[in-house]
Amino acid sequence: MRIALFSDIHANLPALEAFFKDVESRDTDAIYCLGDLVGYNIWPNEVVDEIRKRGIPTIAGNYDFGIGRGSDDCGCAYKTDDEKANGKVSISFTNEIMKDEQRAYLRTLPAHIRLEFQLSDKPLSVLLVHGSPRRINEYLFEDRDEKSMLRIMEQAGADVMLFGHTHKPYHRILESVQTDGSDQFRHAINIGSVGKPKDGDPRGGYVILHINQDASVTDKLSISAEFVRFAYDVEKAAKAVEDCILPNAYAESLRIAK
Amino acid sequence: MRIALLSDIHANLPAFEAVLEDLEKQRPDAVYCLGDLVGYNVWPNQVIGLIRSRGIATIAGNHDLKVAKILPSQDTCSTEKSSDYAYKLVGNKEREYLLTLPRHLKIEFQLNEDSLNMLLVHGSPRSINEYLLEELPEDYMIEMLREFKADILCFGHSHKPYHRIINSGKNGEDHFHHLINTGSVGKPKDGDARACYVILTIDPSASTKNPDGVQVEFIRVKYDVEKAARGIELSLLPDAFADNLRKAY
Repeated sequence: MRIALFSDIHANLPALEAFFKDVESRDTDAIYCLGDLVGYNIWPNEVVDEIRKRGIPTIAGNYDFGIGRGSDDCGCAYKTDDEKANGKVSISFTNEIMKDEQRAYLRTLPAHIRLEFQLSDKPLSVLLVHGSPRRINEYLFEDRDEKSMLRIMEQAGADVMLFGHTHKPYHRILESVQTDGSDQFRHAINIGSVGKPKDGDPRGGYVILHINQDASVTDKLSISAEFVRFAYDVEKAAKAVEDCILPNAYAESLRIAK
Repeated sequence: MRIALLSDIHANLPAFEAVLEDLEKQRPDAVYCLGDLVGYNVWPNQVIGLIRSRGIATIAGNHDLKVAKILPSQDTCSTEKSSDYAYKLVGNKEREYLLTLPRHLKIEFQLNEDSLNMLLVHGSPRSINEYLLEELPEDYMIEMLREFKADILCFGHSHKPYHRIINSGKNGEDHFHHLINTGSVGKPKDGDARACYVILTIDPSASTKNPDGVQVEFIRVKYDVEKAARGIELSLLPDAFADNLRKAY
């Protein structure tokens, strides 16, 4: 089974359209969206409509959670005063242009989706969250302490966990010993961002999760993540930012992927 | 949020195409399929092809798992009628798809202070083969709903659609659960030969305290039953399956 997972589109319609074109050429079995459809660009309604039109199972991101409730807090961890001031402009702009029907969609998005497989004698639980299982806006970076990462996954009962929110893709395999002495491999997979990558590569990114027919937590290679990058019209998305009230810094971050 | 739930297509391409066409009009926000894509008719690969090309999130049904045991026929000259023929038709790529499907999907809503858990299964959370019929005792269902922490339990398998609300609350505290049998797209058994599926609406006010926040609508769709029945009669499948479709039993 090959499952496409994408997230953090952030109102970037040119990137989303390029994503659909790319994923449709790859013959996947299912598609899920891990949230943050809106914020930072001018097409939040269009992005919601494109995802709804396809009936794609989608969970809420922190930005969707805020906009869905008409709140002026997106739950984002801005560090500097400039970032905070820019963030305020973005959320109030998004709240202003969001239409009722699209906002109502964001309001009732689920928080988590879990896929329970039974492909060997042991069950396999695949958990989809936006930030972390504990909090919609927790950042799970690649350098997080291994013990902490394992604890988060154990507490959530997740053998495979897919998430976004940081816009920096990675796949980490965490090894632990089970009560019966056998090795267990957990997979923590950050799927990157379609519309606002921050890993230095301005192309959009998403993941195709490969699950073998006999996949199991004890077989390390029976689950793998393919990181896909696709080119899109970055300049169009950056110009859209510059031509509206949104801070120009957001255009620059699309161009340099920071 | 409006969610479409489809189940028990059973290789009935005319019925499934009619439902897909109806979905274009309904425009739900998400679509899930609760399994049994194959068995009883001659278009398993076409049904799987449509589900895959639309990326519809799907769980396994008991008939989908049968392809592990019933392999493509070596004897291509056989003229003997058998229900096994429905599984022998399934291609290799389609077999792999069916045998790697998840068993359950859990969707957790956090719309208010509490959480609202929706669980999608084919038969029951305990068994892919269990029939959760409408008349099961309330105590039995409450025990199951608690064991699997399901506030909204969606399933198919029996091909008889219903929506039942159960209150498991104690000491004056309400806790409402929804039991939703989606009925069958391709082999209804409730006397109505039209295809059946569900549109579930989750309101922002939905919670275990407010049963009205979850609404269930059963959609019936006319399709070319005769074409589906003839598909069976012209094949090596037992003719009784065609009669089942015409009379919906």
